Amino acid sequence: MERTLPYKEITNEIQVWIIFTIISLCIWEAVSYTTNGLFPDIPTVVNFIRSINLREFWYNLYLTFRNALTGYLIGLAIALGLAYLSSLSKFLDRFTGILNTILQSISVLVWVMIFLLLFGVLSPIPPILVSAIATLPVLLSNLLQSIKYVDKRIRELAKILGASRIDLFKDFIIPGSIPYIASASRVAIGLALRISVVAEAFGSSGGIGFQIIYNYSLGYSEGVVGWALILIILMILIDQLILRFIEWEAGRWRLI
Amino acid sequence: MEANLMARYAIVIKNLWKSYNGKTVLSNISIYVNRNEKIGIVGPNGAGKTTLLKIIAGLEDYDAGEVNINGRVGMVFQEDILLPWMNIYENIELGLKYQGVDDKVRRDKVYRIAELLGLTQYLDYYPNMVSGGTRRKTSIARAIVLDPDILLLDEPFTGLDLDTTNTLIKMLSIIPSKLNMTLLIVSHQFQELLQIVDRLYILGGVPSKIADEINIRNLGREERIIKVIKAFNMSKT
Repeated sequence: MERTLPYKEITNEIQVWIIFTIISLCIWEAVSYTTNGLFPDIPTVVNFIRSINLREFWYNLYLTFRNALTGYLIGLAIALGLAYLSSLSKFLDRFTGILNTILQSISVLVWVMIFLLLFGVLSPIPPILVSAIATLPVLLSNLLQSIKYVDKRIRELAKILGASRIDLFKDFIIPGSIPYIASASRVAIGLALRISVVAEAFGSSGGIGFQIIYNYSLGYSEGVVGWALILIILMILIDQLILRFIEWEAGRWRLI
Repeated sequence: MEANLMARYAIVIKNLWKSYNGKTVLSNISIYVNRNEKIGIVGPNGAGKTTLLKIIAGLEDYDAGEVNINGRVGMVFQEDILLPWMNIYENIELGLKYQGVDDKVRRDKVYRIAELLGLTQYLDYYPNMVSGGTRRKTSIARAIVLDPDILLLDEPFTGLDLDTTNTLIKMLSIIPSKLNMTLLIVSHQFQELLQIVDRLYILGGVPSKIADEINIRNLGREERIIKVIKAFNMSKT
């Protein structure tokens, strides 16, 4: 009855990943060749990455991850608060729904500009807030949906056991929503990383986004591709090794 | 309802009507359940048995009639609905936590009920690690740990193998008297039911009404079966 990891499936998927990587590298080399080196070839980019000072590498990585994860956590906290409010009354449910629609329709670029205007170009706050505001609708939509579909049976059980409204939310709805939150978080953390890089590019003194735009302004195409590659590899590793596993683990919490 | 009459009864339902979307599901239901009595309600699937149980538990409204409940109600749902994020111990103690029962008292109560139902060895396990029978017992433990005066069970034998069903029958025959509880079970499996209960109400017809009421207290197993089969045949004609 215990769930075990689908090892055979994982092995098959690793094979596909290897084939995919080989094809991607071939296309990369082909593009570099056909553009006469305007797009840097693989050895040039590898050399650039090897030349990055280790301290600089970890510092920029730290900044980007700090911005993205802090933004994600703020987004999650706000989403949980709004989801709780929406469970209190029909009015608040509609209100939260409308707020979510509005948040979804505002471009990230607008948020970047607003936060840069408010906090200044060198402030560390805009990338964090932009990540938070970008992940919020993803998390909130999933939470609202899962609350709507939390089984009627669960609500009846909570009532018969004498659970208060807060108990219902804390002990039943939130844990019952964990599988949905885990799936949404997988998307949201990826989004937070991509968005925080954009915000860093517009106004920041560090982070992968800053490094990409810095190298671009100097005309170092290998720097642009190198830092982008670092980000892509890290995002894939985090998604496949951590977030995917968390999502799978959270599946245990589906009602039986 | 007069107080002296209610003192005798645990549940009194008079002329109850219930409909969903304009379709009547329960018509003119009247049921009287004495304190500490074990009552069964049988009927085919879709006869409104669960609806009736939920009305008694206060989980559903009704259109007309009178429902009087004398005491605290505990309910065991048709599906076990155990919370997968809590272990068996935490699932059982949940209601006690909401009642604000002290930690030590809570622990003693959970262990006492777990022992009564043979769950002690599973208390640290999570619901997905135990058998269907253990899950069913856990959902019963979660209800009776709250010391209800009336215990409602919705299709308690569904999905269980023969051995577990027999164990459950034995438990449900003994435990309510031991804990001073009134028992009301709804099921479509009357053979299991009549080994436990003192009286049976048969739901039948469209919309459902009480087709018959059979007293089988003090009868042997075979006599019970014969009496109930006769009543079933009569209710069909």
